[in-house]
Amino acid sequence: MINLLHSELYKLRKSKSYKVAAVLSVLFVLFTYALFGIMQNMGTGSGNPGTMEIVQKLSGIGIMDIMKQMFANCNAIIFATIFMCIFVINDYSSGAIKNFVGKGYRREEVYLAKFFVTELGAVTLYLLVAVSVLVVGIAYFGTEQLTGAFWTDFGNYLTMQILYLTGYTAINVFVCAMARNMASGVLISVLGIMMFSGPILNGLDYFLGFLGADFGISQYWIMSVISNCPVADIPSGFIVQSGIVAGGWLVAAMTGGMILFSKRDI
Amino acid sequence: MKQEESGKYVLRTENLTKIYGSQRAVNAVNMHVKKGDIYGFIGKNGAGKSTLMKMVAGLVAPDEGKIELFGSSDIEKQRIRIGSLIEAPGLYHGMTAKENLEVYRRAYGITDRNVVNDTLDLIGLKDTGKKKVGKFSMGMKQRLGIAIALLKSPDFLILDEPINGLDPMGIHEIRDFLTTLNREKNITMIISSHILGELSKIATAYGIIRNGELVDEFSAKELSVRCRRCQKLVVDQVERAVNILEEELQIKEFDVPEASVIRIYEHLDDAKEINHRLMLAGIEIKESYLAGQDLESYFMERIGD
Repeated sequence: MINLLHSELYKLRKSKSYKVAAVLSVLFVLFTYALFGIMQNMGTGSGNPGTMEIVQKLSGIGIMDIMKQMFANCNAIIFATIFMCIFVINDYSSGAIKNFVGKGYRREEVYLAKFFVTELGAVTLYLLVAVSVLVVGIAYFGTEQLTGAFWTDFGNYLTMQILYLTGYTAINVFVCAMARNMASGVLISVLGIMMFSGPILNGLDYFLGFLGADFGISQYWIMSVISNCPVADIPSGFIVQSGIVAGGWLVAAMTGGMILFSKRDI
Repeated sequence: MKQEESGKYVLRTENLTKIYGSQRAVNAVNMHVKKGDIYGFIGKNGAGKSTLMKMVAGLVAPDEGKIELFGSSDIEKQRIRIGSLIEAPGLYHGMTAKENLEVYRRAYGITDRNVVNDTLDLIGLKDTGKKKVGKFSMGMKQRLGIAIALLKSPDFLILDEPINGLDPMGIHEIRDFLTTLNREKNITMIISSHILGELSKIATAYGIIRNGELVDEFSAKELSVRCRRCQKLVVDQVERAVNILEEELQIKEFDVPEASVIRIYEHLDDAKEINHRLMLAGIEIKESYLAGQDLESYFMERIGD
């Protein structure tokens, strides 16, 4: 297992998709701030009533709002997803996976090594985004916002988002191992998991409500907790509930992935 | 399987079967690869070659039957001694040849870092420098695939179409290289290839697979006998004909492969005279012709083309 991790870490270090995802993530943070700057500058001029309303709302924005924009609105996760899909599926599409299986390791170990290093890559991408938001935010807003409460909110929010990311990564690696094809893997991950899962589950909630059920299944979906996590003063109830959701998906998807990989022909 | 018998085999399979849906991709195959052999594995596309090789390498689970490696049924342990190149070589196109080998050196837990350069040198890819594998020719990729298979100093190599896409010079080099590996490092090999003429230059044993079934297994020596030029006779009274050949014509080199068929391997210039003597004895000759195949046409006939 150690050897496999050693090898996967080397691949991560050499991965072009990882480097590209890292650069794009930072560029997207800069783009978000630039867009914010343009909108704010518009506030000094004149505009139609609708535009001015948006500008007035923007004037109260701080670093934590940009954090929310990057994480809750799935901007950071989309770059992480592209990296994950390429990093995992490349082993299948190139046939390289054949050189790891049947070499004295259990298949579960081969899967887990890939999974752990993919998690590591995704988490470091998240950290890079958070640091970029912070550094560019300080350059943009100054240090006035950096109070004790800010650091608490920043740390808590980032920790929660990283916790959710681990669950999401488990699902994504499982999907990629199942798809084994770059096009379908990316398509299922980006469209199926990220974009359409929310509306579909909300629709199911509505349907269950219509049937008289007093619970919604969307709150147990990882993308829901990613979006619904408050940026400040996270309630302890939400921490526990979302932690269970993330942990549940992590364990379920990781176990499912190991079983799938151990049984399937290569 | 008997213990003393299995010791001489690197690979033995017993009724090995793989079923996809309703189709038996590999059907009750009993394969025998002796230590030191270069086993030429021949069959048409879809005959079951790759599936069988994948089962041996642990990539595909058999539905029925047994595999024995190096005389042991604990094949998971024994698979460490196998190097394989099955279908496409699994390469990372964004990396150099050296980086590719480095990935596998780490995965295989090889502590000697020189192994990477030594293997590249061995396979003739040492001078590729910073060139990415994506820009390699087909032949260079195949070589790198073989290099990965060799990285762990295997005792048994499984090579599926290793000369695919190589130019004649490349084929020649790989052929020499594999022969050297076999002779100097005593590495046993299974090699599948469509280029039968090339395969016949290095193989010491053969297996022919047709529609998932291993229809024949024979040594290179047997093959040369089978492909020998001969006079083939189809007669109505084989026993009488054999007597005349032995007693009257003093012919020793012949065999009777089928009920009414005689193959005579000597006095090929005297075919007319032999026929005449047999007819005089009242034997009806239904067919008489000079036969003998080159290896390629022999294989083609056997694999069902």
